[in-house]
Amino acid sequence: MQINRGQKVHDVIVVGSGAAGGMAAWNLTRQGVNVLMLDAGTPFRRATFWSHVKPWEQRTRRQAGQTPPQFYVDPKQEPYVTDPQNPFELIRVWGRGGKTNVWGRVSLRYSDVDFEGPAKDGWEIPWPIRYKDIAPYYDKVDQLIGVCGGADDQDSLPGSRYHLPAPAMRCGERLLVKAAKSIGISIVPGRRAVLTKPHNGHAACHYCGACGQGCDIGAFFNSSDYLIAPALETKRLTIIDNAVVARVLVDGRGLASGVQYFDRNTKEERRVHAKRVIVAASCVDSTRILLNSKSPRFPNGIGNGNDVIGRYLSEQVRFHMYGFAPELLGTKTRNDDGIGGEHIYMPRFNHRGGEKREYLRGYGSQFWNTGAHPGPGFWAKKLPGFGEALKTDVRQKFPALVALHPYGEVLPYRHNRITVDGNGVDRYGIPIAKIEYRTGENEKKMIAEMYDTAEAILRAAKAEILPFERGWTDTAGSAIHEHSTCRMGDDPKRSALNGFCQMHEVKNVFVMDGAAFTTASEKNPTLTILALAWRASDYLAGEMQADRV
Amino acid sequence: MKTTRRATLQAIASLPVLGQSQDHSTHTATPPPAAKPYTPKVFTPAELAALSEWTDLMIPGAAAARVPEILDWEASRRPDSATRWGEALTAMTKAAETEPKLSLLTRWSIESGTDGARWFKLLKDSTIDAYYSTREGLQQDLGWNANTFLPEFTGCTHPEHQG
Repeated sequence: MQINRGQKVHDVIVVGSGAAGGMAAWNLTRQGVNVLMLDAGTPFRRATFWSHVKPWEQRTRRQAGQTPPQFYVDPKQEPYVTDPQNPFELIRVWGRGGKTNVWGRVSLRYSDVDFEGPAKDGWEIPWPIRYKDIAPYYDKVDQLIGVCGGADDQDSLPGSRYHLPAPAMRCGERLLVKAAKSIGISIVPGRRAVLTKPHNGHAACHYCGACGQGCDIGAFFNSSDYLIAPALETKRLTIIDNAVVARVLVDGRGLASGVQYFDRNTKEERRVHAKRVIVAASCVDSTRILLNSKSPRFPNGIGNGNDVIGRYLSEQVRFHMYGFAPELLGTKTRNDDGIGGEHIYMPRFNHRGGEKREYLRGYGSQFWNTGAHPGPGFWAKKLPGFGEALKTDVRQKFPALVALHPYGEVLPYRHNRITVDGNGVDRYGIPIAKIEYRTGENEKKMIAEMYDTAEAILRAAKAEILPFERGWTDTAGSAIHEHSTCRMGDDPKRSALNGFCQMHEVKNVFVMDGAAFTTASEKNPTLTILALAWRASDYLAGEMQADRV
Repeated sequence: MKTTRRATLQAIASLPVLGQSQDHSTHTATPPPAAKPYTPKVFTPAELAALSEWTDLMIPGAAAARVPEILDWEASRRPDSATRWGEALTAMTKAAETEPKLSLLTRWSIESGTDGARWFKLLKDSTIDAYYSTREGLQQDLGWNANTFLPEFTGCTHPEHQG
């Protein structure tokens, strides 16, 4: 039974409460716009996070039937389809704030090396914007959410005047910086949306290292505390929880008129109406909604007259390499928690030096797990032997771990796509998404060089390198950086959105999450998602003021 | 509705004060449960006794850290794990009837592709994961005392590590 939530026509509906949806709601409500937000879950309460529950205490609690908040969507409950030969791991959070509750917090600016990349190498379409268009918004985002980092500035990683103090490097990180420098590779202070001092009313980090469990004091950016809470204070934001959006509704003029959603608990169908719709449910879910939004005017899904939406899915290739720094073997275990994750970053550098490479685009590297951290099993199991000798070996090596996690950009391929036809329906009756994705020769060649670089850094550090399988990469999707399935571009025949995330074919629909990206870069996208969403919602507000949308 | 830079900065500055307290006494999750003896769910008493010996040979101290109970609990949550352990323990117990456990582990530790190599890997991987998740393993043995509250993070203070 369909329930219409009254005949009220909202100014704007925002689908999704993560980085993009939260930013759109925050920016529009403070400019006087009334927003209805639909979120597929419910709020997560910080007081329930297990941020300070030690590993052995976690087990005792679980044995007693207690559980921490269930952030991640169970794919058995909310299924998707993937090719068993080329599996794609889709990781989602349905709940207030989305993945920003548990994200990695790495906050890197895209540069013109990214924005101009396709124009220079000719692969697929160029971005319709350049760094100068988004730079003011990066500045605003840095100031709003608080990003800690250094004073470095280079062509592949532009600097910021607004960084909070960078956290001190760990011993292993210092040694990696020194080693990389000795072979001409730059490793700089990392940039993370973690507060190293109180900022805009939010508490500073207390270095407990439990960020992946959710921060119980909100010391890293999350959409719920930093964007949605202040938006609610304006009294112009209304949120419907447990709203699983299925489709954007289209009227006789070919414009969006609202959305159809299903109550996650009762499975009742409901419809809400608005003059404008912002889709920000995260790349794959947003794309699924758009493709399922079929009508006589848009038989392939809303705004998809040119069969662009759903295609060009891009993510990143990634692997892990570990070693033990000789200077740290057998030393006293330090508290290496810091701000959780690495305090350093290796920016892309392969475009310099004039050397012609056999692949396009590039890679950078992260370094989480460097230092003494819980869960040493993943490397301890690879050590030989058993008994007292093994125990001594683990104890020697525990403080000495150094870790590299290089990320490489995957090209947008037309055949990498999301479809919704012929995959069955979920428990609400909504067609299920199928994800088809594989990397190619370009990525294979880049991965070979990525392995060479990682190994070279560890050898320069004289680290004992843990055995690895050259060429291995993580399961596709595990970097959780899906992009480009509703890409922006200047050519409406080859893109779905303009540079302001506005649909070419349906001017009152905006798509503001990672689906809007033209390329995936090698960098973590959230800072760019926030900047693009701020810019796009400023544009929308202006168009509303001028009565053009 | 075009926003000026001044308005943006004013908006940022007017954000309500949120969670500025550094008093973390209220941030504990649901209270820890009262400690009570563990009731095995999968392994028989004989199997648990055998596991105590095997895991203690693998990592001395594993039995005192109650690793067999952890393995039992893990097996109760994953039927495939319980099946694998059931088969492995039966086979390992039988092998130990004619050869000392230490000798078996020493031999299996350098084999590859054999049943013994498979049992050794199961025992080693499981014991390592379990032991180093305990207070005895992670805290007392490895000296990990983190996941706490620090007013500042001093990081590396060794001049010889500087670049």
